[in-house]
Amino acid sequence: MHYRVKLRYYPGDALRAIRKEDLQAIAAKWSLQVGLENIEGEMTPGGEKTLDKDIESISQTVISLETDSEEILKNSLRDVIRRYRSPRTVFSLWGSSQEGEKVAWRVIEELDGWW
Amino acid sequence: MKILGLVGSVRKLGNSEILTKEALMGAEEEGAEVEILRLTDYRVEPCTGCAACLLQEKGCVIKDDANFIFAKMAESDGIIVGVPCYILEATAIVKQLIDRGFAPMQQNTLRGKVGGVIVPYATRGWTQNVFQQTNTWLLSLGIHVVDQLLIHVQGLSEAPLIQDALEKSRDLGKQVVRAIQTGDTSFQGEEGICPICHDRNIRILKDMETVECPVCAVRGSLKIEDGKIRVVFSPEAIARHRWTVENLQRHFSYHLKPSKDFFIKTKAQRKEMAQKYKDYLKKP
Repeated sequence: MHYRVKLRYYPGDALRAIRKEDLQAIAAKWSLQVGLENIEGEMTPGGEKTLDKDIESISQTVISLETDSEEILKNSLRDVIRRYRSPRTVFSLWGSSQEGEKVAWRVIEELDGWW
Repeated sequence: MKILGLVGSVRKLGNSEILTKEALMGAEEEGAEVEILRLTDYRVEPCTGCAACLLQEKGCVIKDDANFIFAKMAESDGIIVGVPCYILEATAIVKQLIDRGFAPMQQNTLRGKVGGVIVPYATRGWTQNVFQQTNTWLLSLGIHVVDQLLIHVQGLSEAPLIQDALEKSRDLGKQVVRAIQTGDTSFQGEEGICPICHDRNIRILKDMETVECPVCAVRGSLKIEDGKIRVVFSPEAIARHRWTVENLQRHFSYHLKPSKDFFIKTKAQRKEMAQKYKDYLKKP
């Protein structure tokens, strides 16, 4: 089974800055593929307009985790969530594989949910 | 300067109304113009969750008196809420107005006003959640609560017999006026645990290391010093509390409004999966 999890952190979600080197350390520790993508949305003087935008085009930092092992996925998710906390919307897992999303949901609940 | 009293009790001239009026008398002594609304005399329907205020970015579309109540609050400088505690919590009108406050919360029509809260109650030990509700309502609207009173009154309409209750309520009315006059909206009441809402309730997160105010979402940790519990909040955690204008704006911009796209994306799947619930227990 191949698992892919995308964690979409919208502005203000993560407890600290998401840094490539910290994610690389998690990738090395658990031997899995970790990706990082920063999306800059369209800002207006009154803030970002998000109402009629696609989820993928809104400002966000996306962490991707890919592995064939459920255990490795769980462990790496725990490290990511302990560091940054869970992303706080149900659509912040959008783009994950079905199996990956199920595992992520369980780990997020285990670590106190979507807070 | 105008101070509005809001009474959350159905009982006419009950303890809540009496103490709110006492607070308004204090406000008048300080030179304020005052007005009172008995909230339960108005028709306030439940929020239907239509999301028009969010997804069409407009005021609440329900045709009842909630918009009138919020408009009255908006034209006042200070707001004093008097609400009884029934079975741990404030009366239902407060929750009803929390839910209906979604539009003014987004539009910041009440942000920066000054508030005070008076809660008469009868049974000691049965009041634990009452300020969670009044604070959720007022803080979500951006109102600075300068004092909150929990006042023991055993009997119905007994407040006029309790001199201390009357004095405290009158002082609260004066405090609200002075806070508006001076611009100093710091909390003047009894300090609690949370540095934002000053309530004493805290939640222990599953990591068993972190504690959080369930209303303001300020996180901290527990320390034991000389056998006493101390709850420690960092300045950064305090600054990130739930009710900051920036945090609320983020909540609407990044958590709620994008749900429209998610709703559209998952429409077919949801429709298919909801069918069994539609059919279940269907009357022939």
